[in-house]
Amino acid sequence: MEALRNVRLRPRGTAEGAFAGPHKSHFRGTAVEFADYREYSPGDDIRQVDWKVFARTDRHYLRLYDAERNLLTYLVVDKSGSMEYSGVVARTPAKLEHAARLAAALGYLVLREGDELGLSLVDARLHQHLPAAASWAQLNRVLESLDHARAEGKTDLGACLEQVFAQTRRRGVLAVISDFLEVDERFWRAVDLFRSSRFDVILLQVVHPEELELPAVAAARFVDPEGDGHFQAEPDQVRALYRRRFDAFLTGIKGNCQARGCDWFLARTTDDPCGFLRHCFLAREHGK
Amino acid sequence: MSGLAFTNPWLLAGLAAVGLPLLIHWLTRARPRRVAFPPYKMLVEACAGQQAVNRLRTLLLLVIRCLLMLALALLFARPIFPAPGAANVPPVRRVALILDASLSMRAVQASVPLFARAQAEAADALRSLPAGSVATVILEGATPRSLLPALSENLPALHDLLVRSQATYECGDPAAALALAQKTLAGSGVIHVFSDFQKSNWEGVRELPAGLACQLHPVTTEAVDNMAITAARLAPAAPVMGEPAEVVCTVFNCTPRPREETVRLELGEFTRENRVTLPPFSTADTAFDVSFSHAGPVAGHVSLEPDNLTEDNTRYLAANVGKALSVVLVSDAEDTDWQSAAFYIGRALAPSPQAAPGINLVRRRSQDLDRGLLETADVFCLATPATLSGEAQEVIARRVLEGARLISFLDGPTAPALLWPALNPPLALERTVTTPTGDAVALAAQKKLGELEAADFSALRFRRHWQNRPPDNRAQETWLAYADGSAALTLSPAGRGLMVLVNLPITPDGGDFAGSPIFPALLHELLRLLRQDPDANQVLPGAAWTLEVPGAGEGALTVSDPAGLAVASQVLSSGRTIRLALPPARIPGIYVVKQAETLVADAAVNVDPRESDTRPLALENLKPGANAPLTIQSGGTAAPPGARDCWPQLALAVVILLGLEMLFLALWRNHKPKRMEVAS
Repeated sequence: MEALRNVRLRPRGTAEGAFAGPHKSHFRGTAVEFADYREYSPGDDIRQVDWKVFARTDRHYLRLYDAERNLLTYLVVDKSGSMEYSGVVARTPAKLEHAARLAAALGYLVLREGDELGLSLVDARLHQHLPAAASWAQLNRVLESLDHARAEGKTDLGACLEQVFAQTRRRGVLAVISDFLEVDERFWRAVDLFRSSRFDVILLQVVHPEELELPAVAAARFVDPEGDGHFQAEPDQVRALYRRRFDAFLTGIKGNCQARGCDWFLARTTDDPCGFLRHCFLAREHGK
Repeated sequence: MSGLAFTNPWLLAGLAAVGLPLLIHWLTRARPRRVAFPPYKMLVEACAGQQAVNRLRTLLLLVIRCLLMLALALLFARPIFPAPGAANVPPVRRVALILDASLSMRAVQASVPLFARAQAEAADALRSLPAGSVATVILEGATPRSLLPALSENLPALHDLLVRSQATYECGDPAAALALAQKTLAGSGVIHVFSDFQKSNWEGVRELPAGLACQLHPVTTEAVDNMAITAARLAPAAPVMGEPAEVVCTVFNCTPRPREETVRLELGEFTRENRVTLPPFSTADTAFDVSFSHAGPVAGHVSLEPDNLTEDNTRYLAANVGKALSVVLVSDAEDTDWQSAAFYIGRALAPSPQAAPGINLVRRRSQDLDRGLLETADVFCLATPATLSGEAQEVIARRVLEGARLISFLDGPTAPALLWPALNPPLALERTVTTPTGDAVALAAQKKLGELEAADFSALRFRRHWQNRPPDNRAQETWLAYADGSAALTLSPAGRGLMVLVNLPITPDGGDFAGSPIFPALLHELLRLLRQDPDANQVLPGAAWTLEVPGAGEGALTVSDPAGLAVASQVLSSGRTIRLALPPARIPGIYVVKQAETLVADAAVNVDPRESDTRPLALENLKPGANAPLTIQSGGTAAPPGARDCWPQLALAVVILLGLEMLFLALWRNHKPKRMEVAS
């Protein structure tokens, strides 16, 4: 956590929280920063009338100030069967475990700033949804949910994001933690839905190093963890082709994210979660 | 593929190596491990086609490697395709396979015995016979023998007998084997001969059987390098105690290079070595001086270092050392009559017991001869005047025919009485010729009487002699001759013994011969010649033989071969000596005869020296029989006319397959796509 001491999750747009917070919002409020003038209309608080302007113009104008609100952050964690992979030769924590650590660290960051944190566990459907809240008790709830999550079932991220969108009250930051192996058009449409609502979308793609390079075994009978298929191959003979295909897959996701103004980060299960998040947020702040 | 032959068919065993790549592939194949892999679909999309290609590549490599091994095995076996017209020849149904099992086939060439090669080729030929064929296999030894009594359809049984047959120690007789094959085939069929075609054996085969196709399968095309001892003899053959003797052995260099060899003698208490140098393809003699201190049977051998044909590197010797040579001098003249021949003969042979320790001379008149003396004498010396009784003549003649020696001095009117028809003398005395000045005698060409030379006889003059005319066919038995052609001294075989007729006057009135130093020298040289055993070292493996042993002891005689196995024997005659008939000797070596655990005699059986000359016959010069096509298969030197030796094509195939394998491996290993960089 020491690595996250000076790191803050800042939204790219304005915050829309219900409570006052450290983030700029499009609401007018009582902050010290002047925003605009507006002509008085009956019902307005006369304490906001700028009397100096009235003296000069003989008209009543109100001084408007920006309101600072807290941030709503929605975490969506994929708990499908593919997230169970922890390696064959190079053993690491399972992808779901790594995703949980990332979510926990991210949640801590959010709640430390007084922002609201929500959590959705998804696979083929929305499994568990914790509405956004800004208390430390919420962190406990989030951690408990992550702790009880088991990787199983198929994946349908598109449908799940649509359900999450339906349950969001206000815009904020959407952080999706998944391996994105089953993304389809519906998923990207769901992402577009969030983006059109001015959500700040961050995709954290969790991969195991063996998924990048294939396991270092002489021969393997590969089976589909979310299906019935199996395929026998000698990794040494097909490694080059597979790498090319997987690179193309990653490039595709990265391209889609860039086109939609989303942030995309590749999280290897061998990485330190806090260090990785620090790297991600610094990169966001510098506009990379 | 009918008629396809192989130069080295035993190397077809290498075809088993075809399975080697498959075995290696099976042993080193990867055992798949179950992996639940999340990007499974991506892997399938990327590699589904490639997996089939990889499988195809592996299969292709396996096929190439198997073909490579197949081509290599065939290349070493060197197949020869028959002539194009050969395919039209109807399948052979009557076949005789002659397998040379003579001693020379035991030679090892390129670590493989020639017999094993011939056996493999013969077995191959037998297996390739079409169903319904009848065949026989004849083993060619001293006496050829069929493995089955007649042509047989039971080819598996014949094949089984063939592969279990072994080479013998005998001398091959190809003419007899061909004759047996011709008789067995009864006029139709094919004779296959698998042999080394030794020139020394095959040059006696003037023509192959008529009316039968012959296929010759030489198992080697060049002489196997061989050093051999082709003869070893003891002189005298039956030495006596204390007498100086020598072992003379002949070494044969059957190699194209000069050789220097060490010949080692082990005989009784003697162990000696001689170095002998031999030019290529030549023989040389080397002699060892020996002397025996004890009487009785003695055995040993001379040997060379082992080489490609070890069986002829050792030659065995066996002799019976006597206590003394028993010589009976028969003459009716008085002992002190200096006008008689016996007076000088007795003094020349044994001037005193000390001067001739090896000779036990007994002088008797004709009427004083007793049967016991005659039965035990080694040499009979008859000097005129001597009028032997009919019984004495009969006993002496029988003893000579059984192996004793006889010297008859023919001088004076009673000389014709000493020529007994039973001994088949080489001359007939016609009349006495007297020459006051004396006649000279000359040593016949190519005859050598020890150290006596022709010049030594030129000074001698003889005033009388019996005129005679030896028949032309026995002229070689004359050693000394007068100018008129009469024989002065003859040496003739008589049964198993030897007989010397001396037509020289010994007495002073006949010349100065008795006073000459040549006289005692000639007498002793005649004794030495007489004691040579004409049958020495002539017992050969594969031939029935007889053995004489002293019959003095009690108890049954047992004969055992060099391996210690008992040999069945049959007593032909008994008496002072017992004559045993023995079956053909199986192996060379010393055969011993014991009586109640006491060694009473031994005999040496040696291999035939003709088998040591491994130089092959030029088969092209072998004359085929009338209406009998001759083909020479494999062997490398001469293939059948039109036949095609396809080793160059196989060598090319090996190179191409090897190149293909290397090319494919290089292509498939270097073809690796580069990794695309994805910034996270």
